[in-house]
Amino acid sequence: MNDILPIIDCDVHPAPKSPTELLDYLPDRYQGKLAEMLKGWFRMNRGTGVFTGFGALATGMRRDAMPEMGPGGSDPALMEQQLLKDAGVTYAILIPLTVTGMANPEHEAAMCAATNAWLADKWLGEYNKHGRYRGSIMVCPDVPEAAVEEIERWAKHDGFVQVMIPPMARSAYGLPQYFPIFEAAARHGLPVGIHINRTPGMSLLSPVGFVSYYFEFHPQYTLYYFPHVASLVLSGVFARLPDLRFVLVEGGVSWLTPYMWRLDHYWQQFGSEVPWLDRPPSDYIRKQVLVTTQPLERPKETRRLHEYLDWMGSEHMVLFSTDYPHWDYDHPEPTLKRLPSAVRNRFAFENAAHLYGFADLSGSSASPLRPAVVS
Amino acid sequence: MAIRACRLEELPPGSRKILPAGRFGIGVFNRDGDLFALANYCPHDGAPVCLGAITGTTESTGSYNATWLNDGGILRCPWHGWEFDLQTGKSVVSPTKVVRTYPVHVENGWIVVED
Repeated sequence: MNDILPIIDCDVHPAPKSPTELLDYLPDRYQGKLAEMLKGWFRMNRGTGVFTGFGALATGMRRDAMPEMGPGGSDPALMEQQLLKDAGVTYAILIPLTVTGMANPEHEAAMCAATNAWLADKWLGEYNKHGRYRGSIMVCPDVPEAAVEEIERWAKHDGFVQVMIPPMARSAYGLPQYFPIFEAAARHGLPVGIHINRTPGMSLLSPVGFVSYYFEFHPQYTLYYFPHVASLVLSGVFARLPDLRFVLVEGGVSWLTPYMWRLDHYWQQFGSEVPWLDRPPSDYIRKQVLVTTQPLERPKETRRLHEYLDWMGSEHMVLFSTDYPHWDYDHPEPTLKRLPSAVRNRFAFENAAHLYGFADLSGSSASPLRPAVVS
Repeated sequence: MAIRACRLEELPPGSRKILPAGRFGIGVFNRDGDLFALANYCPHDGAPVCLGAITGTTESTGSYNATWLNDGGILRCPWHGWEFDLQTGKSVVSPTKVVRTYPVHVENGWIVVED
């Protein structure tokens, strides 16, 4: 199947080979503190004793994706072999996880800037001779001015195709302080992706307190997306920026269907509270929100998942992802088989090609589709 | 068909070897002198299961208590961490999911796997 179906993998995590590699891109004033923090991140990643979160399997990595040296995702040859050759992925959207939610937003913004410069040099430059990698512009949402600067700096770089923020922000994303970030993204035709990240501290908080187990935490990734989606719709961000697209990465797929039902239900009662919405919330979500597949829900009867996808009106809303090189990686072949055949190619390739501006491989158009996003 | 894996001394206790046999390869394991052979294919998602860690598993001994058991007898898939009993190939959590096992014995100092 992989031989014939082109695949865009919308969730792939490259990593620096060593802390030094990323430190080279940081201004001097951050070297000391961030160096310590980065070393901590590396210790965590290699599983050598310091892990402030939960016991993810093999320090969160696919065991066979750990290179001889350095963390998972840091060896370009291994990634090419396992992802592009063995798994049959055509293009990969890269999301570095060097930037976890940090206590100090200025540091986080500095890490974002360093990561972007590093990604451009290495994974979108030196390691991208084949042209099959695209990157995400990491920004710190809680320093909006710096975030907009980063977007302006990298938007014209061919390799960057989206803006990336973590869900662990200080507030819900519909609040006005974040609007300039989304405005900048929309201005450049860049979707905004949100990717879950594990961090110690408050970001492990659920609405009812702290979770006790990694098992408990992982299925609850979805909880991070509920408030952001409602906030973005109800605050009118989507209404004001109709070309803005939001990609919810690694938070599940099927939950969005009943959530849209609930939002639409209350629109009847509370619509007058948000008069800038001229359509039911689900209309904005269907047009402007996309979700990635991994980790794809697996009901015993696959047709139940298909029903949810059908009720969702998901034709344009779903993007395929593997999460390589992480332990909860979804291999393309068995995963794509679980998706309805009528939309399989859309999910595997077409939706992402459209969203991220890949040339149409069918040959009918050689020009990038960006920023002519789905209308 | 009988496959000669290697000489017994080439597979000391605690080691493993992946044979280029069958469709996916066959992993041969030596656990403290006991030999096991399993298909290198995870029934969950097709991962090369024999590259996984050899470990143990837990069993509940009452609320909030658990004991570690079968240390060295559990093969944990390198992708999603499913646990399989090295001897039976059965998944610890869902025993209906089974990694194919092969009979294995020693003959004139050779480890022989029956495919």
